[in-house]
Amino acid sequence: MSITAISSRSLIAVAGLALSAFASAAATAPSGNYKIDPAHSVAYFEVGHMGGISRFMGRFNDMNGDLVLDAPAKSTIKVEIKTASIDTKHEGLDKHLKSPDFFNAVQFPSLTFNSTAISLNGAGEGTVAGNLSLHGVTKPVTLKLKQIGSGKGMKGETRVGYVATGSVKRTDFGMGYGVPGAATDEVDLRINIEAIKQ
Amino acid sequence: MPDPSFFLPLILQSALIPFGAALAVLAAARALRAGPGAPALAVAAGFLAAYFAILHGQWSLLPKAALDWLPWIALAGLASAPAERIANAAWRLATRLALSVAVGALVVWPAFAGLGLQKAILLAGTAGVLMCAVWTYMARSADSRRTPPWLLALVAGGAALALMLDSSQSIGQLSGALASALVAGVAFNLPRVRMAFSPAAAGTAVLILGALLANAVVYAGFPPGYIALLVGALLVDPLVRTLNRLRSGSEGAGTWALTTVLTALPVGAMVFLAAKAASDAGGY
Repeated sequence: MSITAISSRSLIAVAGLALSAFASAAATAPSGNYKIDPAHSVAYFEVGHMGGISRFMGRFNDMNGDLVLDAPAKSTIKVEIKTASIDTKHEGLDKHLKSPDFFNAVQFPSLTFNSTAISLNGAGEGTVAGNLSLHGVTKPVTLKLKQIGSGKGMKGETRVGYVATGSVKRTDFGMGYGVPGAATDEVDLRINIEAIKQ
Repeated sequence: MPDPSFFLPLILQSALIPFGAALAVLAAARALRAGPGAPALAVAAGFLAAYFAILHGQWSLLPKAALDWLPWIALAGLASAPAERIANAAWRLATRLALSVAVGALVVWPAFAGLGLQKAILLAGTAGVLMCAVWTYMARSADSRRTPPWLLALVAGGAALALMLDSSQSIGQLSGALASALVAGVAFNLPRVRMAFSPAAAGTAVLILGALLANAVVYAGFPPGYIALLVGALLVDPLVRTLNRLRSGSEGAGTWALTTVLTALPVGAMVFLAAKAASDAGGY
């Protein structure tokens, strides 16, 4: 057997393994009630600075919530994020973002998202529509949803992972200070969720 | 050199608009021979014009955020005009205290759930008593001396700088707007008094300033130590007046200059501390 023949078979085997792993990741997660694992879940935001000369990112470190996984029509996602947990790796900016100029974290200590409709295709991709409550204002938003995978944790518990992405306008939520000079109106969101079956 | 596109809107919203609006009200009031409520109206008009220039898109008629109450508080300040005409001194003081505590409560109320009953009462009560004390002192000589609006402007202007450096830019801009409206009143009365600052104007200015600083402490992490320095600055005038009386001296330009310098010291210290805190936090 030539070296070339071995290499070709190995490549086919590796490709086959990769495809089966992808198929497994996209498979429907086991139905049931799940709690968000705060250690492995985080919500990011990205916004244009000074009218959009650059993009800067921040995240919220404190997030919790529940998922009910069933057929998409019966599934729900509830997320609560503590606004005071905002983290831009810059103390001064964090303090300013918590002030009434932006999140007003004392008066509005949490932002929440409650789904109203979920749709996912066979590849685990789709949308989640729901109500986003931020800065004392509740508005319907639709985010792209992707199921990342599901499997067993170290203690045998069932875990699932999702990523939701989308954009909102902060002025829609009464957060209009410094638009667009300090930060652009459009804010991109990315919510990475890992949840544990209860 | 900062980019003009950044600081020109700040100057327009926080200085030129409130200064112009207050000056226009005073000029119109003088032309129409309006009553003693005009200086209070000028302070409120200057502040409100700046408020809507700065936060127009955010304001909610039915207040949602604590800052939404500020236009109503400015209008409540105008209600101090009839209160200042109450003949009985005790009732007048009680009315000032009631209005001041009500303003403190309005500011603290939206944060009640997070603060808890005890802390909320303590904050609203402290803010109310401080506002009432400053208002009462300023009202006593509001229409006979030039110092009350000038000292309030100095304190509000210093607070504006500290707030913008180390707390909330919107509250800082609003504090700067109040200072500009007060300076308009001072400028209008130079070189001779044409429409004196009134007890009601003192009440309006103190209620707005108190509401802004209470907002800053409760919602924007403005350190209480800075408030102590501002209180210290406001204590300079009664101290200088008392010492002057003991010396049987008259209150001339020298006393005014000394009071201004001594008041500026704690205000300047506060601005320095805010600049240092912003620098220590990395600045941005």
